[in-house]
Amino acid sequence: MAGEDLIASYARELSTCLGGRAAAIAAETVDHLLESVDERVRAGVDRAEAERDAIVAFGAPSEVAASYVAAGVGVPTGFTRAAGFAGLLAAGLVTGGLIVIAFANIAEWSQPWDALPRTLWSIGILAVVSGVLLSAVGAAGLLRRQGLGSWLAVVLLGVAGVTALAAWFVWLWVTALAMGAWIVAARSHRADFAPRRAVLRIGFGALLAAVVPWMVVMSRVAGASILEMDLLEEVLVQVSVALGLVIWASGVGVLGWRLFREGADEASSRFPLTVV
Amino acid sequence: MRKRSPGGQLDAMVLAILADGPLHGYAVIAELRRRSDEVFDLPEGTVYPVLHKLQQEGHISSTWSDVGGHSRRTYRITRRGTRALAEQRRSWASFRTAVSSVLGEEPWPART
Repeated sequence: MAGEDLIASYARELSTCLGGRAAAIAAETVDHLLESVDERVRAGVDRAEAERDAIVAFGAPSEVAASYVAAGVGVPTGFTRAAGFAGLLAAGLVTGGLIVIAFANIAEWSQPWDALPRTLWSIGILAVVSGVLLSAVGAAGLLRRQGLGSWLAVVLLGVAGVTALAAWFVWLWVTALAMGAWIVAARSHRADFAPRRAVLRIGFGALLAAVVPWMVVMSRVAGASILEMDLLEEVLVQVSVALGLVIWASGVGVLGWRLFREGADEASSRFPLTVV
Repeated sequence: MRKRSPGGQLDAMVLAILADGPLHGYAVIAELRRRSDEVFDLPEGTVYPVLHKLQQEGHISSTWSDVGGHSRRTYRITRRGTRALAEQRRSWASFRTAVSSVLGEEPWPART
């Protein structure tokens, strides 16, 4: 029917103006317009005229889309879906990299003269660095999806990834990671999109990864020592960083999956752009 | 009465409407129009970004249902939204008293 085409085409144009996969917004718009048309028809208005009046009363697609932008409302886009995939990769790379590093340490203790530990260590570090860098992309997508902006968080996460290459400056890159993660968590915890537990894991995991290295650095600056043996201090640092990163990665993975999956779900049959 | 834009108070008015019970977007707009005696009659589509923004801020939540073969989103106020509404009501009452005082309609409450 011509009327169904009019409302459906309006909803499609609104989605286009929003520049993303705004299927949920389009579905809500269709519901509104149908109810508006029904009310006008009940009042005695001709159906075709009621549909035109309902659309006029709703507002031009460009005007409505501009009000979403002005309100800072984020919508799922191709970028946010890609950022979600980057977040999933980040979680996998960091977790996998830590496992490889753990194997590298075991191999070094059992066969210190072998080249294998150094190779495994390099692979593990590369995986962790790549994961942290990808998490910066994921963070940008998450903030964009929520209509938030925080270039600082993205920059810090990028810095964390780059400085992780200098693996012995652990306190430097875990600090950048923790600060970036906390900014993302703080901006996201009030939002409805990000599950609170995942956000808390990101924040506290990064904090755990940073706390012990900083304690060691501060104690050395003060001329003291947390533990009497440097080896035990090193083990403590590695364990806390690894544990913190695993917790952090679990939160990143959850949010990455949510971002990635939203793009596919929203465009699926859940919100078909047809008028019944 | 001349139609006006609700300006920066639209968030608070939407929360006040939802405080009385869950509603979908069309009903929120109709209630806004009714309670304001048709003074606030803005383009209907511009209210939805406010609803989505409030949801992003955690002041309202929403659920989807199927109505007549299509999807409908219904909004309800959260506890955080209730607290925000109470704060905005206090803020508005203070603002209204101050403006009325300046305009000479009401004296500023005397401090005792």
